[in-house]
Amino acid sequence: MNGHGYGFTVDEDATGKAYDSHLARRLYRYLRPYLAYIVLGTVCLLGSSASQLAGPYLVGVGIDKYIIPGRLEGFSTLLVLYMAVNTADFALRFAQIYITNYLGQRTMFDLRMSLFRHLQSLSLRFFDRNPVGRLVTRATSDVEVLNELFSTGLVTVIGDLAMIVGIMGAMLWLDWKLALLTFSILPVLLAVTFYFRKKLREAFRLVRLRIARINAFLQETLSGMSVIQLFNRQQRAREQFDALNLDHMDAHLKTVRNYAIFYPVMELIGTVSLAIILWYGGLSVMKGTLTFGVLVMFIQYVAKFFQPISDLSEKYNIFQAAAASSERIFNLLDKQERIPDPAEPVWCDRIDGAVQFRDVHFAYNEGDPVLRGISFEAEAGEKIAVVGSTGAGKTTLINLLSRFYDPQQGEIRIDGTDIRNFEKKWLRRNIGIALQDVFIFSGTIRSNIALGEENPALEKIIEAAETIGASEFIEKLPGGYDHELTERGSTLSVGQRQLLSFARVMYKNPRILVLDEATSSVDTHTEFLIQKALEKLIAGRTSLVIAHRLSTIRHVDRIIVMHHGKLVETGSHEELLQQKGIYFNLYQLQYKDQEAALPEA
Amino acid sequence: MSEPKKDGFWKSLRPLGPYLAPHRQMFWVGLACAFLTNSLGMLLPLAIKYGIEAIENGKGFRLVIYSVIVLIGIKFIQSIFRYLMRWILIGISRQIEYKIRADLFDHLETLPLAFYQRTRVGDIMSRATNDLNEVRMLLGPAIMYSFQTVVTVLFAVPVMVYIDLNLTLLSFLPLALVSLSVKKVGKVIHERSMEVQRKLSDITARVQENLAGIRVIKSFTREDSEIERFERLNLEYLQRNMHLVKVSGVLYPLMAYLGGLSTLAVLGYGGVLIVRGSITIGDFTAFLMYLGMMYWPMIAIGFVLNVIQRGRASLIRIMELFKVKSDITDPEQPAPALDQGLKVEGHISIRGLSFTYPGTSEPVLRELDLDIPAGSTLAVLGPVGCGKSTLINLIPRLFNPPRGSLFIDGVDVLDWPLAALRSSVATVPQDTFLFSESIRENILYGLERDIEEEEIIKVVRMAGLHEDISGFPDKLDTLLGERGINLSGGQKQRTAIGRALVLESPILLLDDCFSSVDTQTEETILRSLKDYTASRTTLIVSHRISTIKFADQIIVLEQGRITQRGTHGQLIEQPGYYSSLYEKQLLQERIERIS
Repeated sequence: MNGHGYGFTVDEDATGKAYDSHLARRLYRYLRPYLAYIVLGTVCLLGSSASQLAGPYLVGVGIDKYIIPGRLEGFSTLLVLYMAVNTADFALRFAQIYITNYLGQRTMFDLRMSLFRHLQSLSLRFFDRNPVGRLVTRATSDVEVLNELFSTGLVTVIGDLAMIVGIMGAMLWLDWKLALLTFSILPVLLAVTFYFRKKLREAFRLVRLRIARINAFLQETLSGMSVIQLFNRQQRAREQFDALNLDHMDAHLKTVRNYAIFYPVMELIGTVSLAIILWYGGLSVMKGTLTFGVLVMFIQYVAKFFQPISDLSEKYNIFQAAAASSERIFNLLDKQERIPDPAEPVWCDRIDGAVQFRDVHFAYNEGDPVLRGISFEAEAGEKIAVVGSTGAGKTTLINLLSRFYDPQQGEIRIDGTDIRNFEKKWLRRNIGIALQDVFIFSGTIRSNIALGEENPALEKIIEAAETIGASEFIEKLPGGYDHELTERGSTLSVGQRQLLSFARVMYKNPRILVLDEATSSVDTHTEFLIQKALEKLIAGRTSLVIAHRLSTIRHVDRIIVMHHGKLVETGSHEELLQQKGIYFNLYQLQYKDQEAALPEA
Repeated sequence: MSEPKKDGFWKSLRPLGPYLAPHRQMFWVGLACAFLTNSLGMLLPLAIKYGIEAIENGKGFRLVIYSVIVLIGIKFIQSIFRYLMRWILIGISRQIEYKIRADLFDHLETLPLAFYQRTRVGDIMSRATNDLNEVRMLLGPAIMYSFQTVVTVLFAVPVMVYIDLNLTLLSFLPLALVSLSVKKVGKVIHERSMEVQRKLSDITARVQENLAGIRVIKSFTREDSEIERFERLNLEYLQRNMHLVKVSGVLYPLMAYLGGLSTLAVLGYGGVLIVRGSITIGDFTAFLMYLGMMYWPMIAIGFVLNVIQRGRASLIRIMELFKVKSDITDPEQPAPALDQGLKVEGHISIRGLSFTYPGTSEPVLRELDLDIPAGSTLAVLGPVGCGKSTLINLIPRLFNPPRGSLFIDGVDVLDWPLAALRSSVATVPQDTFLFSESIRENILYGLERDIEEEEIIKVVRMAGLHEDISGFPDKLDTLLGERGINLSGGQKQRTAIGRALVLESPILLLDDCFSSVDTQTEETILRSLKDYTASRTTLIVSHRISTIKFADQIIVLEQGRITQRGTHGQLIEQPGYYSSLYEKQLLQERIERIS
């Protein structure tokens, strides 16, 4: 029915090998838990093949034993038997399809889970380098390709082979001479089938490639349509598209032509085999060496020969695609970029929250240092503001403290212990982070505050939101705490998103807080709410705040000034202003405007 | 998209008429081939019938051999027509698919920016590929199979009835059920596979979101609950799939089962008829063969009905795109002043220009009055969202300004032929969009004439790209990835600047095009541009004073109004947006110089 789908991805990096023993062994590991299903599916399939062989046999017997002799007693039993075989075939076929599909789905499920789990464990450095889109493709499309292997590839190959062997056996058993004569068309049949399958495979590969090009071109052109129009380049784009569109049509016409030859040629071969049976078999019947029923059996068996051979030749595609996809999947599973957990983690029930940076050097890319020997100490409960111009390395401090990255040199200590001696999860549980760009997950307000915690206590959530002052806007939303947020929280204002992220940290209630204040301006009322919230948030915690608000600078115990990856000044607001150094200038630039808006200043 | 209503069946297919018309003759030839191949096929069982009857009566070898030769001969001729039928009919559908897609693309090129801002690219693409494929199925396989079915039924049924009426009725009963089940089950399969697709896109969205937010997940140590959440979704997907298998897995076995019932009817009742002597074994075998020939057309009926239904829905979706009309078109009567060969001076005047985006109520520009003499430079400054880009976009009519508010060389831009207007204006848009071609092709993108290598080099130098390009192994012929991803933000912007400069248009629009270029490079570019812009009307939007202080005229836009205007020297003296921005930038420079 020509129902092939369009693949949007072009497997340019596919190895093209349909079988690879190493890949096969790894895949087998995913199949092993479901061996019972494979066995059961195969049994059903063999049963169904047997009943498909029995059908023609019963028809032949009916002709020879009842119809030609004209004896109808017992004929009805045969009909009932035929009915039973037919029904069994139906049930077994359905059972086999259901079982093998279940097998495929389960295996995919497991594979997808292990990919997802694996992705969760990889470090940010890995995500810096690998575009999200490609990773998503691994977990969806590539896994989907393997489904075909598991649900229609493996088991049905056994079935097709069994069917072919069964038919050949039955024919030989019935009349070996006629059987051998009929088999003479087999080489032609195989040659034609594999020849056209190969042609079609190439043609379809071309079709996929060219539809992918059309898609890529459309994607680009439609996104850049205004540029095309501004530069009067419609004609050029039209010609480019026309070339792609023509190529695409040509590729399809190739498949059309191949099918247009393939189908009739197969039918012609079928007719020739029929003619052979009719000719030789007919003469044998007349000579009395063959019965009429057997002749009819042969005619029916030969007709059943074609399907499994054609199916088998198609399986090659499935194996090839599956090999390419599993290779890509396993490559991803082999990536081991992780921030390591210590072999023997240090445990303590609670921490005081003293933070110490000791001569920390760090670069995201080699040769491009971002931190160049940072040392400072924050006592437990001390509040520190970090200031500096963009690119000074402020955000990197946060990344290192939470061990999203490890420094290349120097160490970071909490309560005197190098943080590399703690378990990552334990460490992060004790550090609360609120970032500038608040990431909202699709889900309810409630789940966004508790961030996926199992059965979060609503009272605790409300308490956190109330302390922060977020309850005011939350309660106004339709559904309140159960209000559904769209992806990326586009329905919330910038200020509301800030408050939500504060509520998250409040709910988590960590000993150490790191906070990257948002620079974007909000209305006066929201600004007031955020300032109040921030005071509540940093109270009683060791806090490291990348400050953009004057009010924040005024509320901290100490300010450290970073410049080009170094810590250049430190002290209180007044002390630093008197130094007339970088802070003095930064203050003029970033904070002075806010003086007018600050009521208590 | 809701199901199309039943009553407008032919009406909804009418748009296909013009596409079929050029192929009318070949189409008839194709149908004739379909007729021939299928009607010839009807002779095959008869040849076998005579062969078998010859065997049955022991009438001699010769008759058997004759029937075998006739059999192969007919089949051979039939194969040729079958080949022609497929090649012609399916081929036509591919050609029509090509034509519709080409027309669709032409149409899309006329649609305005506003359309692309409100329509998702993915949605347009799915219409240009998936929906178009459904329509092609309607034109090709659906027509071919339904014609085949009609011919087969017309020829086979009379012969079968001639053999025996009751046998025909009895054996047809299960086959009718085949059509029905393909139609019914096929529909359910389609619906359920749509559900599976939807779940799959949920999974995709989930993974996407998870990976985009991986930092938050890690800092709140929510990996485990994310895994659990994914597991639930994954399980739902598995269940949806099995829900689909329950019907899709039943269809093929069911068809085989019904086919078996049909054979059973012939075997049982036909056997009795043979014993009674009312039909021969030859009749019996021929009958079985006819029945076999009817099997596929009966499946096709169900299949075709579904294809038609989906094809119609898809056609309607495609036609929806064709129905969108652009409001940015050539004037019916271009201004007489724009007759042949007139040199565009580039004098822009703006009179009382207010602009509100279609579908919104808040004006973005309010009563702007500006005169930009030919060859002068205007700089526009202002906070985000003040309307700077809107002003730029109105000049080449990416949106239509109200009549009587925007003139170039004294002619309302609405009265300019679009192509003439746009080739007088070279734009560097705010969002740099490059094509996945070579740097050279990108720079020469808008140029219609051939160009000397030195000229390109000159432009590349002016755009400050020369050093960068020298560092690339393929120099100017370096291929860019999608949207130019292998270039840095600054390199992309400078390429886009080169693309505009090379045109040497009388009007140059620079919309915040130095934002990713560092200050030093920016100043170098501006210096080298001095001569170039001296003879051209230039509009430059920026956030940096250093970019614009040389402009003949500077305006500050705030909330769509001009709040300050003058030269750099005049504006730093006035308190306001301009002078405060100026002070800040001085401070920033001072900080940068420290250490």
